[in-house]
Amino acid sequence: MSGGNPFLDPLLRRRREEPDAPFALLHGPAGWEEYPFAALFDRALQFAALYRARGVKPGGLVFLMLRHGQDLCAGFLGGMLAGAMPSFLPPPTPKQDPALYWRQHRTLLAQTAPAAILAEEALHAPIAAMLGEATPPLLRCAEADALPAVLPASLPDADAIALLQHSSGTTGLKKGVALSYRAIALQLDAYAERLGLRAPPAIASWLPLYHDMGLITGLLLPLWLGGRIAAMDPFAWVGRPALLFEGVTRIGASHVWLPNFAFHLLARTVRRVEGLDLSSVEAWTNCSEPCRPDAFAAFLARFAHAGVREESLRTCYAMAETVFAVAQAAPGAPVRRLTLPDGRTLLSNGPPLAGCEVEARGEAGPLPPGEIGELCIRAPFLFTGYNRNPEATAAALAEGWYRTGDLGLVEDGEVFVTGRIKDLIIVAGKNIHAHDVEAALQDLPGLKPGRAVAFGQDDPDLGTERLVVVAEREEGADAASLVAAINGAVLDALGIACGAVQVVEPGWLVKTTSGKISRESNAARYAALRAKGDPHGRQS
Amino acid sequence: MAASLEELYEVLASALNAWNVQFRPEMGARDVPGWDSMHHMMLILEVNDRFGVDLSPEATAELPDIAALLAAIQAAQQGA
Repeated sequence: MSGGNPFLDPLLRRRREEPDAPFALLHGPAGWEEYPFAALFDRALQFAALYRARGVKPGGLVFLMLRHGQDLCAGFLGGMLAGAMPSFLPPPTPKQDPALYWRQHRTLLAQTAPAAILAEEALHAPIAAMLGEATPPLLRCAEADALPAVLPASLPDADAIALLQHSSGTTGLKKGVALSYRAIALQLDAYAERLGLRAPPAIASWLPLYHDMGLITGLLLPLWLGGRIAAMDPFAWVGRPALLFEGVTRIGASHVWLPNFAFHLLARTVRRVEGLDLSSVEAWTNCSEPCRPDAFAAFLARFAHAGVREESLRTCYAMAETVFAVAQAAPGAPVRRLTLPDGRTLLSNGPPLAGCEVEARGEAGPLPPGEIGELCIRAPFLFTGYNRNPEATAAALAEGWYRTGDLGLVEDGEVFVTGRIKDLIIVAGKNIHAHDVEAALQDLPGLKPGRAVAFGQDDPDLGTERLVVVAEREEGADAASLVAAINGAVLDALGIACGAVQVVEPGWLVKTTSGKISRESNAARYAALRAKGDPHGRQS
Repeated sequence: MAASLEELYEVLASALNAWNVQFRPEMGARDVPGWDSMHHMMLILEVNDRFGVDLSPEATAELPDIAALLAAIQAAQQGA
C-alpha cells in the first residue's frame, strides 16, 4: 500500500472503467430510486468543487447536516475528494428541543472550527444565530448543481486524515475520531477477508451514516469493494421495519448489519412472512451492542421459513477507533457460545481480524486466556487520535494499544464481551453516558439538585438496554408531573426517551463511601422496588 | 364493544413496560417513559390485536395524546 490513495484510487478506477455500474438504491418519499455509481461519484466531484470554491483547504473540517439521500453520501465523498475531513452530524430530530440542541452543539462547532457546513436550508439560520461572526461558510446542496464534475489535480496521501467520526456525549465535547485513508483501507481489506466475500457485497441498510456501523458498512465498504446498497432513512425504518426486507429483496442483498435490538424488533413487528424471500443474505451481522443468543433465536424462529439460515447469523465487535471491526465470527458455522460461572451465556465475536491483537488486561497487565479484564487492542487500522484533543488521545492510546473501556475475555482465540468499565448505556445501538443524563436533570424544577441517577437495565423484550432514571423530588413536588418533566428533559438533551422514570422521596438514593450517588446500589434498589411493584403503577 | 380508556391504559402499560406510570388522557408520548418510536410499533400491534382494528404505526405516531389514540381506535372499530 505505497503511493497514491488506497481508498480513493479504486473509486477513480471504477468511475473510469465501469461507468454503468450500479451503486445505491435509496428509499425516499417518492419510493425507491436508483443512483448509479457514476452519478454518485460525479455528484461528489461537484461537491468537491463547491468546497474548494468556498475556501475549504486540504485538511479542513466539513460538517454535513443533511437528511438521508444521495447528497448525504455524495457530499461526504466530495469532502474526501477535496482533501478535506468530512464528518456527519445528526440534525436535530423533531422530538428534540431545538434551542437545547443548538446550545449543545455550540461548543462542538466553536472548538472544532469547521471550514464549512453543508446543511439543510432550515438549519442555516439557527447555525448563523448561534455562531455569529464565527460562522463558517454555510453551504446548500443546490450550490453544487452548476459546478463542473472535474477530478481534482491531486488526492490526499495515504496518511492524511480521511474523515472524523464523532462519538456520543453532550456535556463533554464530543470526541472526533480521526481516521487516515491507510487505516480505512487496511480495515476494509481485513474485514472483507473475514467476511469471506465471493463477490462484491450487496448491502441492505437502515443504519444512520453518522454511526460507525452505518458509515462503514452502508457506504465506505460497498464503495471500496464495488458493491451496492439499498438504504433507507432510519426514521422511515423505525416506522415500518419491514422496509429493510423490501431493500433485501430488491437488490438480492448478501449482507445486513443490525444492532441486537433490531433482530428482536423485526421478529416482533414484521407480521407478513408469506412470500418473503430472505435467502439471498449470506450474513446477518449483529453488532454495536452486546450480541445475545435470544435475539438470534427469535429472528431464526420467525424468519427461517423465509430463508434465514442459522449459519448466516454472525456477530461482530467493532468501534470507531479501529475504523470498524475488531473481530467477527467467521462464516460457515454457528457462532460459538460460552456460559460464564454466573450463568450468563455469551456469544463469541469470533477471532480478531488479521493483523489485529486483542488482550484482556487487569491492573497488573495482560491476563491469561479466559479471564475477564479490560479489552485492549493493537491493530494496523487504529485511529490517528481524537481531533484537537491530545489529552483524550493520550488517555486512550499508549504504546500502540487502544484501551476500549469494555470488559471481556479472549478464549481459544475468540473475543467475548461481558460488559463495560465506563458508565455507558447502549440503548438500541446508541451510546448514552449516564453523567450526560444526570446533567440534563441538574436544574429541573421540583427535583433535588444533584439527586438524580441514571443507569441501564436489561430490556429482554427488545434485547437492548432501557435508560432508567431515579430522582429525588423536592418536598411537595408532584411526582406524576415530574415523571413527564424528566422524560421530556432527557429527550430534549439527548434525543432519546427514558425507558423508565422513578421519582422517590428525598434521601432515598444511596451514596458511595466517597459521597457520590452510587449507580450500582441504586440500580439494585430500583430493581427490588420494581420486583414488588404493582404492575399498574403507583409512585412510591 | 367500544374500547375504553381503562383497557387502553392496560395495553399501554404492557406494551411500553410502563409499570409505574399513572396514565391520563392528555398524556402524549413525550410524557410517558418508554414510549419511543420502537415501542410505539409494539404498542400499535398490541392495540390492533386487543381491539380488533388495523391501525398503522406510522399514521398513529402523529396523534397528540392518549385521548386521540382512543378516539382513533373507536373510529376504526365503528368503521370495521
